[in-house]
Amino acid sequence: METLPALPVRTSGLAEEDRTVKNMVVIDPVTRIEGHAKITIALDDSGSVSDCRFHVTEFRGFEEFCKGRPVWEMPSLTARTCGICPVSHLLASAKAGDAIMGVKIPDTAVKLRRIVNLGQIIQSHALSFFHLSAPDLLLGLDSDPAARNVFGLMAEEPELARRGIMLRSFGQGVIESIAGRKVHSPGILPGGIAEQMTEETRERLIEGLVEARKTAEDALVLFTGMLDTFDREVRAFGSFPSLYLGLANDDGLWEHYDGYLKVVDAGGKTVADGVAPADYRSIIGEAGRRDSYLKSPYFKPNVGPDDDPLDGMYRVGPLARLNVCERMGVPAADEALTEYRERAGGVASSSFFYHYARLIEILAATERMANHLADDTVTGPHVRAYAGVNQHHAVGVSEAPRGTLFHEYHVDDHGVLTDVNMIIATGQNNLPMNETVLQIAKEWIDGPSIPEGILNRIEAGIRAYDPCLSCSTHAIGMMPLVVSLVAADGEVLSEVRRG
Amino acid sequence: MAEILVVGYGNDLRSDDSAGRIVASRIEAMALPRVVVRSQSQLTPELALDITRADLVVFVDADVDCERMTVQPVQTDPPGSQSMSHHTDPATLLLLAEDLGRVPPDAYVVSIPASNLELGFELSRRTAAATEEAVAAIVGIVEQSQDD
Repeated sequence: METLPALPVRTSGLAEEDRTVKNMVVIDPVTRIEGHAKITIALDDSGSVSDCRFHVTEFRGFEEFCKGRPVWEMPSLTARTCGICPVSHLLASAKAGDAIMGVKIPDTAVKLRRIVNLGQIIQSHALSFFHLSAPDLLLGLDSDPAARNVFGLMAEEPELARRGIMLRSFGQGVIESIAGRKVHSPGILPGGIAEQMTEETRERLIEGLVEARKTAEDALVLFTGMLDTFDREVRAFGSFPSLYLGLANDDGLWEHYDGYLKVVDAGGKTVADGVAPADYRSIIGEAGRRDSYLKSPYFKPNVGPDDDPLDGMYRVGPLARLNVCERMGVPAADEALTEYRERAGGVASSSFFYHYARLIEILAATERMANHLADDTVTGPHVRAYAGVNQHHAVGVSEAPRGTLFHEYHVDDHGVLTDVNMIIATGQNNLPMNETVLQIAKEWIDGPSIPEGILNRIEAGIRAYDPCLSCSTHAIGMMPLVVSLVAADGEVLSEVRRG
Repeated sequence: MAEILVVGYGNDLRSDDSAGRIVASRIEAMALPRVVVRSQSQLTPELALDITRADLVVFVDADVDCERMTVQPVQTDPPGSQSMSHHTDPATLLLLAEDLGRVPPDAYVVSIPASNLELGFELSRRTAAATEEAVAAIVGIVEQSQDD
């Protein structure tokens, strides 16, 4: 893995490895995301923003920990990578296990895995939109930070907050119903699913979908109704050309579980298509930075040996999936996608649209789930294939809520892992998150006085990606916020704390 | 009849951090009447819905800052962090449950001393002993609640 140079840093609490720095603004840690991170903003001598970095400061090292474990154990083990989106790891790991076994799993198991992933997308997106970002969107980015949280939302928009919790609970219930437990579900295995779905479960989920879909539709109306008031944020929250990567299928429909890798550019032109997940290394390279534990994957065909990986910057997740697909494949979400593309002017290049894309994906997930549950074969008894080790190398890919997730395993004859590589959605968004922070800082910061609302915008730019640093670095935590403004000589000029 | 909710949480790959979840699994295995057990890697906001259905909530967690197993009422004044990322804390969950319409009259946090949070499956000796005490304490709380 290449190592990129760290942004020079010299502030209290930060490394003093480089003494050539300019003025710095440090946001440490960033709030309302999952994991530990900080943001460093470098000012030039005139007080203008010259550079920014999003640093991930925790390390968990899951890939090393997994070596020596049997592949059959990996879904359960890698699900511990994250308590937020364990189903995504379960699916990618189970799919890698399917490939190690060399089996085609039963159709019913595929449907159940798809339903579980849709439940995962619903619950994760619900938390991101209704509880982590809605306080910014509904109460205002400049509103009182003491009330800019879920309780402030409860006070101002109690019904919306309640329905957000209910929506997340529904998604979690889907996971629990099929996979056995909300977190670290044991029911998804190499070869399929542990147990068939009962008719009672099927009926209960169909019943619950009614309110879930209504909540998604109402949230879309709410969001599109206020989108025009965020015109400046749309223009400056990570609005730049990049590539977009996601799973795709032959029908051009929104894909979240299977298929092949597809990459489109900022103009919507396909630059890679039909790439088998097992061949992901033909298009994805990985770089590292000295100042972050987060890897920086890039689109390899765009980056020569002497080029900056930034030349291969791509985004994953809801924004990318909606840029990669032609249609959602379900009527209400397709209608919403048409309006979305009209508002975006075609390919959506602003990361502020991640919020919008999440809501469309929630709606699509409810429609897709309804279609799966209407299929009588979903309760069929044949849900698992059995085999031993038939391949020594495999790659499992699925679309996690935050983007494309890769699990690559090498095993010996007994199925014991000899090498593991995971490429996590948040890592793939590392380069664009850095660019987003830089763009926001340049748009709003002018000189050393930085109002709280501007700092919140910088954080909100990161939150738009809903990063899960627990997955991507394999760390876990919760963050208050400390912002330091530090002069070139190391003196702390001002400091803001919250949390 | 409302439930008694026991929520054990922690990372079960992080040695002593798994203590809360081990207690949860022990309580679940006892199949105590009216007791609903949740075992989670962390507290998540939708747990507030479960809390609205309970008359008594017991949170069980490993704590590197405590020296011995303790049982304490959840303090909602001051009201915890009131912050939420992808996870939250007991006080914030109780306040969220209150906003959702109902908060249980009794809520406790059972803290289990922890010292080793490195990757692994084994509990340290002190944590293992405190885990046993926690199970006994929770059974006592449940029995007291059912007698009332």
